[in-house]
Amino acid sequence: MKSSVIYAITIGLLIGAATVTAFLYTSSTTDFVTESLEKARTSLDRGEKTEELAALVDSWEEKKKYLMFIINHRDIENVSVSLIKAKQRAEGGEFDEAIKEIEIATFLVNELTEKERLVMENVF
Amino acid sequence: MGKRQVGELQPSELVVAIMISDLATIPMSDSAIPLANGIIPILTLIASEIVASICALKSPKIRKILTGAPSVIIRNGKIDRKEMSKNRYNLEDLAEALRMKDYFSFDDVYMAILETNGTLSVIPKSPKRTPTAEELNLPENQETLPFVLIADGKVYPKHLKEAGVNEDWLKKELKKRDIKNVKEVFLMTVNSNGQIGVQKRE
Repeated sequence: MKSSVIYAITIGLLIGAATVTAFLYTSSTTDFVTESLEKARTSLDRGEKTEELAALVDSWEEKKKYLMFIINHRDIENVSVSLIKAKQRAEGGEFDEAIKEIEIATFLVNELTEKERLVMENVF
Repeated sequence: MGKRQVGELQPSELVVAIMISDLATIPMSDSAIPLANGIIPILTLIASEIVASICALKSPKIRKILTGAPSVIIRNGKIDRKEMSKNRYNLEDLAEALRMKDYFSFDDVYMAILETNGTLSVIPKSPKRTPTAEELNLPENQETLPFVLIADGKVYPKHLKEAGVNEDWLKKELKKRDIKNVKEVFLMTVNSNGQIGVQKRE
């Protein structure tokens, strides 16, 4: 009996720890991405080319390797596609289009965190 | 929850087992879904099942809710129709369950209880019951489990000790049976009456 209680508590703690860790990692990654996207957008708004997006795409490729353990791969791929589109548009001088893609990317990235949040909408 | 076969599982335990297998297939069937999305729900189900088992162990009320209560289908030799319809148990089901217990006539049964796992426990009428050693005034000879001393060529020293014998005794017995090496033996057992069973490897 005692061992069963210990198993149940251990499993509960593991689940709790895994959930919290996953959420914190996702949250910190998305914060970093949205911050970089904001900086890039500010430069593009001023009509200046920016290296921010290229650096962000490279960072995202690294970070997504760990996010793939906790987030649906399709959601991650949507963000990747959006970032690459934004980068391509910015490099091609299509700043308005790049800004639109940045807005889409920001929305998708924030959605990743919202989906991991422990709220009633996600439970049901 | 414990060491039980599938046929003896409670309905809630069977449901949890089926749910766990379904959850396990989700990340396996779609590579876009991370493994954690299957493992965490499975662990949650296991933990909740353990908690439910502990609660059922401690509280008769919770046990009744989770597993139900046994029903007396035959009482004093009479079939209780009310209990049968309450359990959606028909006469064919009852006859089949009784036959599986080696009772081929309803008249042989004094009491039949439908357990929570669906099996039927039967108390036969006294004249139909197998007499016990006590009733036949037979000398008492308490049997215990036979000990497996050798299995597939391997000696079990722990079982030798429990049986109260040693390796020298073992070698002597094998020699009596013209067996030179332990590896020639597939199975060797000894029961509480000292009877030895040996089967050689072919």
